[in-house]
Amino acid sequence: MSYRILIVDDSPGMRAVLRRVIDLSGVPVAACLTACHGLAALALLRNEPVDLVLTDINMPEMNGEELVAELKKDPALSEIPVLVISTDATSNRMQRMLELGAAGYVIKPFQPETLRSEVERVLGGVHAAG
Amino acid sequence: MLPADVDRALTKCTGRVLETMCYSDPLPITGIEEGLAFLHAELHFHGTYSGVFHLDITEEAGRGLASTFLGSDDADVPEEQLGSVICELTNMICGSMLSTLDANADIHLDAPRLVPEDAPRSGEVLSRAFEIDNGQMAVAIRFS
Repeated sequence: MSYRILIVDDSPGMRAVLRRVIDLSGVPVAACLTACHGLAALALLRNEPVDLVLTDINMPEMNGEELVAELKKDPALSEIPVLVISTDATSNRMQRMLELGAAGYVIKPFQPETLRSEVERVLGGVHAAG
Repeated sequence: MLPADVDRALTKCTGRVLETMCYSDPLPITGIEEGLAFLHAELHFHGTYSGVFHLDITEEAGRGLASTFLGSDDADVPEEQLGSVICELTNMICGSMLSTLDANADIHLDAPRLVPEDAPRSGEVLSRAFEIDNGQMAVAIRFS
């Protein structure tokens, strides 16, 4: 099975890094889509099938916290797993994101191996469910 | 929050971000050399703590970090990507630092942005300078 992954980050540099880590991870990827904020991500998700969303938190228009909340209240999108990737390592934020329904939380800066294993763990759940 | 804690966090978090994302090992120095041209980025933060975080880096050093960050073989990183990486490093160091200083804080970071060299800076600033491959950099934070 190959996966369709959506990267949501307002930093072009960070989007490029995430894409490279995924490309080198060995995870079979059918498509790697990108969006620069939560609103653009939502619009894309309503038109494109996606197996995993990787999202930053601090973004213009709609932040990552709002994006996860919107996804979880939309029955058509609520099952898509979301992996949060953020510099915010505070316990309040991590707890809040996980309570909202995020499948995992990776703190920046991260080792490529850390991100890869989290992506594999979450996609493993998708694979098992499918 | 004690200045010594902030100082330690500036050094620790700058090192952690550059080592992890750019395979660079910054060496603390007493101050940046006068007369060098720097790229400047700033980021405003709010929440439990409010203030502004600054990152200054010499252009060649910035290009080296950007090239490694992006996994590019080409050291001649386009201007737009250079700015994006400098801003992302600013974001990571600042976020990492505030989380390190207070793991229970409520932190909101604005988008980092490049600013002109002569942009005014006011108030008391805690700063740290480093020697890195191909140049120097400095990070500074001011709480309001």
